Amino acid sequence: MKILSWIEKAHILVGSLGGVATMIMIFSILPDVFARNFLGISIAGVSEFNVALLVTLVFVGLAGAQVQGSHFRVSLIDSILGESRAFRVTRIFTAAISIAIFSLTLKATSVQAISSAKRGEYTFGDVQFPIWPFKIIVSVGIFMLVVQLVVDLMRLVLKEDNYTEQAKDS
Amino acid sequence: MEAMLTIVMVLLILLGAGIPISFAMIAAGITGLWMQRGWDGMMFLLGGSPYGTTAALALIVVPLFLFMGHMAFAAGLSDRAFEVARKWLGHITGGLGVATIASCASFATVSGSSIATAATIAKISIPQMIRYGYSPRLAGACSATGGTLGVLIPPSGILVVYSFVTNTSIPALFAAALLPGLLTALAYAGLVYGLVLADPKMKKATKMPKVELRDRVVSLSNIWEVAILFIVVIGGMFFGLVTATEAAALGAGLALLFALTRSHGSRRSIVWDGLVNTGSTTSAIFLLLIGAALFGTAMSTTQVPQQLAIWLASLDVSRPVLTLLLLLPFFVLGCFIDGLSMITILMPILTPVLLMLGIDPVFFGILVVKAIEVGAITPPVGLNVFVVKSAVPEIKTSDVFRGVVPFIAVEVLIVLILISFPQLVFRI
Repeated sequence: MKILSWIEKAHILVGSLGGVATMIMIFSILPDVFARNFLGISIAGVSEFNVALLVTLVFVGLAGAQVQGSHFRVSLIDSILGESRAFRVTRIFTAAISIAIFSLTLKATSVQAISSAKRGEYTFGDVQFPIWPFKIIVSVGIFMLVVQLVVDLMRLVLKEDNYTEQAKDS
Repeated sequence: MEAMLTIVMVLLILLGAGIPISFAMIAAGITGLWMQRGWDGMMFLLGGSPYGTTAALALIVVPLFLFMGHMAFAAGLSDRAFEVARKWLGHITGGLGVATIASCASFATVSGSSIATAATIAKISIPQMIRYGYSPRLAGACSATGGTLGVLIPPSGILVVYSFVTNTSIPALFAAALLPGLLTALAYAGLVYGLVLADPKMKKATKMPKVELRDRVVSLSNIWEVAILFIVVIGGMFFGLVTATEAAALGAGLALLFALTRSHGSRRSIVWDGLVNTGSTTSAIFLLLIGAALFGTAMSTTQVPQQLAIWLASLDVSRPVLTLLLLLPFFVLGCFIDGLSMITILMPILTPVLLMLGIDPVFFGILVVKAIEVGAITPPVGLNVFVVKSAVPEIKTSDVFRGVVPFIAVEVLIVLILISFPQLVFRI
């Protein structure tokens, strides 16, 4: 199904744009280091801005990391079960469990994001930096992960996953 | 006790089924919190944990150090480090093997990753070592074990994660790792020297001509970037000139500059690939941290870590034996799962135990990294061995696994030395 591939490509693209946040971090921290060490002044809000960038980088990249198989896992079962029917059943079971875990997480984070947005939540300290948009990004990132997990499950059920492709090739 | 058993069962069943480790830890955390705090309490903690765990200033170093490693590799620092080490050490007994260890140690000061160090050095060193008469077993073992220095010698990604999970200081951990890192590199080099010396056939075949002193001195100019990165990142942190976050940003910025000026090929794709990989790996690491936070909260509500500490304190054994007992799970689990996951699973349980028993978490962190080094070269997972195999497909995995056996013995010996002489682990 082409739509599944498009969703996966979109998740990788969004995750890649999140990677750009790393570059922005470098070029926002460096002027602050020089200003503090050579001019004796500190640029206000750099820390808060970079924490916000970090949250964005992590959560917009979750679904892309799932597509690229970056999430750490114990791969012992792969070598024990090989490409058998039992392996496919196990994969479907784990995909369904994963959807359940992150649907629950999505519900919990969304409740807090909505509450934060309604209150217009800000950081305490010298600079008042808005938190609520980043709590919404957390929920959006987890939503994208749930969508990707559903895509993975559909691929397994439709036998369009990598394991089936590898078995066909061999 | 019932809640603790349920949490552990959920974790083990899901890990066994092959679900990602972070997903399994979140599921185990949800189960434990639901049992201990009820549905509403669990939903409140679950809703706050992803943002609360991620929005930490200290953790900005994770993507920055990852990006620095990518750019250091793209700038060809690993290749040049090996060439310099070969020129200086190639002529001694087992010279190329010793040069492999030295270049791993050198690249470790900028990469922060065991896999990156093993993969990059293996590609350059193994073909040369085999061409000069070294056995594939020793050639593969040198890169696989030398690569493990990447997680010990600062800046180490694993130590950054450890610092977050155990609430210890990053500069303190980096300072503590310096001497054990150097000691490990020297012990590996000594072992290579001894192994070649004990094999007359290999000793004769591997002899290389001595490079003129002038050429050797000139070659040092090829690794000035490594020296600059080390001085700026580690020196800046130790002398209190910059914070860990600022040091990481400076290192990432400098490595980017080196990659743009020294690398061959499309600069745009080098930077883009570095950013994409950094983004993807950062997301995976942070999901592990979120899982560890939930799992840790669930475990602490069961009071099991506290009971474990009381039980351990009641045993009539010395502090070194207690330390060894607490370290044992890392050696066992290290055969099956990677270091990062081990830290996020075990340290939320063990940190309160360490504090109650009066064992310094910084010192214990260095021992944990040593155990992770062993896990990275032990079957069946032995990640570094497979990394070496994928970098140099001609080499047999079984050969590398056989070759690393003496290195594992040396690792265990170093752990025992560190436990016996804890003063070798500096504190700042």
